[in-house]
Amino acid sequence: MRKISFLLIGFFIVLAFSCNNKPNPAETNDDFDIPDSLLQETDSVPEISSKSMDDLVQNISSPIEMAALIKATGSKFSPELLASTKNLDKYNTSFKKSLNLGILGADLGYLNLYSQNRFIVDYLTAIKSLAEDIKVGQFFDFKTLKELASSGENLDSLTYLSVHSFNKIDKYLRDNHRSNISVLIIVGVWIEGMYFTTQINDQVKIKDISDRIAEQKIILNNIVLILKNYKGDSEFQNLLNQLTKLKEIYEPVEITYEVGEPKTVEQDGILTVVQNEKSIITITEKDMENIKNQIAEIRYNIVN
Amino acid sequence: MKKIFFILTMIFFVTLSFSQCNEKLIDIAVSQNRGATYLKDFKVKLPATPKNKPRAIAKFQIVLNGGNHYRFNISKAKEFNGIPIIQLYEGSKLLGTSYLTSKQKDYKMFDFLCQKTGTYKIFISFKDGASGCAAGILSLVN
Repeated sequence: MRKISFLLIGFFIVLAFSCNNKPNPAETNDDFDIPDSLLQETDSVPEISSKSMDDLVQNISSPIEMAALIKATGSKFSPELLASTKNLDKYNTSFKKSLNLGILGADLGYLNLYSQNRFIVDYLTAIKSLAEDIKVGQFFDFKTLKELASSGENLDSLTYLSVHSFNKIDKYLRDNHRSNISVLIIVGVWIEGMYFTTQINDQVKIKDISDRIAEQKIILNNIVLILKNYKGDSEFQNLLNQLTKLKEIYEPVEITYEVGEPKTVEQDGILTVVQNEKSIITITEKDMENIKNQIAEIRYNIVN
Repeated sequence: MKKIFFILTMIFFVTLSFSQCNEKLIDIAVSQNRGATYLKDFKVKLPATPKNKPRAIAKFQIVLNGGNHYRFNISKAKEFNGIPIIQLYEGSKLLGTSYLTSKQKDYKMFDFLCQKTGTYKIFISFKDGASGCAAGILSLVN
């Protein structure tokens, strides 16, 4: 009995020290370790090597931001913009599943912001299926998400859990050398966000939306650069070709900057920084029409 | 002997349950963003920096969209003393910070009215190069 007690005490001491969070440079922690590469400047990197994929720019596409922009214009909820959840059988490769996971993720963001609970469970079920197929289903707490969606209460928590789940997937995939899958999900989210905004812009013509679409020229350049990393794969090459065509359509779009110093004000205990450097956009209706059509074509090829 | 075993067991579980340097810290930080919509989290755990060396900084690159009102807030794990600082840079230009050195004041958050879509950098460090564990949150103010 004494021997067992000693062994158990020893075990707990070792375990307690291993859980002690006082940092040690040699210690590793899956959740909070920063790769060395993040501690270095990456400005001058002309191309992205697979080794530095962890350095990729984050928040390239957010399921929430495009939807929030559309909602802020006063546009009503348009279910016809959503991708169908009935085509899952057609997505028979990891490539298609990942892209469509991004597409449906953006749709979920749109549904969340418009509090469309009646659709959310259906989209969650489709997302669960695709996520499990590419072995990342463990990051979604579908039970809680569905309960939140069904109850119609605490929609903020539903939005948070949905976005956080996608972020955890992104981190997991990057950390486990599956950045190709992560990139496809990001591109899927971006394409769906672009599809929403170009379609809405066609109906309402609001400067905030057309400016946002024009400024995506900068983001598209990033995306094309990232995809070039995988051009050895025929499916990636095909997607890259379509996005390169979109990049060419964007060529005449001009973005110039009016220089200004940021101002910081303190109100109600919160510091607010106002950026006074503005972008000035020049885009013709024809360019906008071409962008809309090319995005619709790329999106059609993905979801069908 | 049984008593020692019981006490050690209790210490172990109490230590474990009070540790915040894990995923729990994200939830805590999100709950402190004053109702803004969560977009991204940046988890950081850094060792103390020797006094004769530059302090350790975790750097992340992010895309921000012009016309959006963003919020950056940061929370620390309570078992660490280091005061976390979250800063926003565009190139080498500091745009915003949660800690104002001129006032020696820790705001824990700041808002950013973005006018220009582009790539920005988030720096997370700990005051005076102390060791620490923190979660920074990027949110969209509705």
